[in-house]
Amino acid sequence: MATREAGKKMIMLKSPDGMEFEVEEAVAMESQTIRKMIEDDCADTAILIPNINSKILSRVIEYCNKHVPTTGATGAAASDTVAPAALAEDLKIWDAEFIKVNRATRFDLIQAASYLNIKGLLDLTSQTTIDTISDNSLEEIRSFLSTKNDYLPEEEQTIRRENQWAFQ
Amino acid sequence: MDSKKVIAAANLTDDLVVEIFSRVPFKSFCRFKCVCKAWLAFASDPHYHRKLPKIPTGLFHGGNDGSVAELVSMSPNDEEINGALTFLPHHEHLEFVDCCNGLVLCKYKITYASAEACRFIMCNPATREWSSLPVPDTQPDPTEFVGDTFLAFDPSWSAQFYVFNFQEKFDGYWTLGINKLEVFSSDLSTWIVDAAWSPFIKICNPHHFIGGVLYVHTDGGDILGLEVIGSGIPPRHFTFKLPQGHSDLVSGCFGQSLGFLQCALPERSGHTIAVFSLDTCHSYKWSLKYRLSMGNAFGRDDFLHIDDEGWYRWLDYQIVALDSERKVLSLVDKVQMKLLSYDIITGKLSEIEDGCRTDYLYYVACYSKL
Repeated sequence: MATREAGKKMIMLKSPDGMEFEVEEAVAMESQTIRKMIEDDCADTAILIPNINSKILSRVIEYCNKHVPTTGATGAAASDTVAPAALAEDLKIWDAEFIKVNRATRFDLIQAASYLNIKGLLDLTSQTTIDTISDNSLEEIRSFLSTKNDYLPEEEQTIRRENQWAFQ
Repeated sequence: MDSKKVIAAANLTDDLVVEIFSRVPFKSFCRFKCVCKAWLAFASDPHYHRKLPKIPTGLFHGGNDGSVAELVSMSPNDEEINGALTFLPHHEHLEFVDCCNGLVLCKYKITYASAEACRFIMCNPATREWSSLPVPDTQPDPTEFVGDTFLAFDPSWSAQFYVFNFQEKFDGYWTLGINKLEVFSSDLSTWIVDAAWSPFIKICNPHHFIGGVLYVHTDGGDILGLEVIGSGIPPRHFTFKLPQGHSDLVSGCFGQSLGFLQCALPERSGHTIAVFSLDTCHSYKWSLKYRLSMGNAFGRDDFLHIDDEGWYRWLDYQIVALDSERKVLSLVDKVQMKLLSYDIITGKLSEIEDGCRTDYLYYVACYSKL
């Protein structure tokens, strides 16, 4: 964006693969982890975000940009014209589009949301995963979450019997 | 560790799997436990225990505005439990009678059932199963008798349930005490009359069923125990006292811990709540388990109100449920008109909802077959 409003503090986020992202402080502070660093004065120049590659970090920033509460001059104008309910509905549609990603990206997003402590993103990514696995068979859940069935046949029989009611 | 797991970069750590599971209903979690041993182990891991879904609990009360009953859920993920009991046939003609652990007892209103005799319906709001109880052999004249009916079901003791139907003589103004007791047992599906009933004991709520014994508070300040000893045999009766210094359970309630009866009672003008546990193995003596400061929790000291003439004293809160396993007390604040939950570990109060009724009954979901 060429015309940034004066007085908006910018923060530099660095991914471990060397990419740098300049974001507004308010956007970065959607992450409680970054908020704490800023508040503790640990964010003078740039913040290195370990474990989150540039592809995922850029998507996380995209999410935070969309979800940052609209305050200040431009924000007030926006919320004057759009009713809160319509705004929430718009965000829901946006979220649904945003989360249309493959399984590996979604897991990376869950991990990033958890590390950066962004509640909305963690809720969104977790709920989408639940919706995917809820009606699946155990075998499908195992394959989706790359888990192996390590029950012995008789053990599996017992645990299935104990929880039979949950399959009805 | 499985080498495949290390290579697959996009695997979720246990922490993240638990994070996801913290958002599912208890029933889904029980299904997921069958996936692998690690997921089963989450449930018993103290580090994860707090986050994971637990058996749904809540508070039942009779419904307003045409509904049979309402359930105030204390488990945010579980919307599957049908607290309004709309799965029951002709539910609009039913009234709520009692709730015990995971079962609910209703009966058809007199206006609907007048052609026939009083009919009870037992149901499980979690599994949506229900069964209709046979009509008791004798039908008392409703102008001369009123009934107090208690449901008794303890899944950790037996899969059977019992219904205790006390018939109380009524002279048009006053109730004169119970003069007949009928007990229904689900294994025989019949009612039996308890001929050994000593007439004219007056009973009051609250009541509690645990380990085959129904405990009822009587107006003499005693607790009456009615022990189920076998099919088709009337219960064994015994009485014992409330903890020393207490003569009633008006603002208190019963609960249980590890199979023992407990009671929670306000003390010292409501400043503290004492939780006592009953030793049923030996002496039927109460021992003090906790003393909880309500002054600290509410942030005020004046709980006791006395009317101008000094006759009538009342506490401005009431204990409606004690859950020692989950370390929670449910209270009604009669000043703020709120239903509150008190955490026994942290000593903190949190609001459940607005409301000033006090006739809540504690519900713990049960998923076994009726």
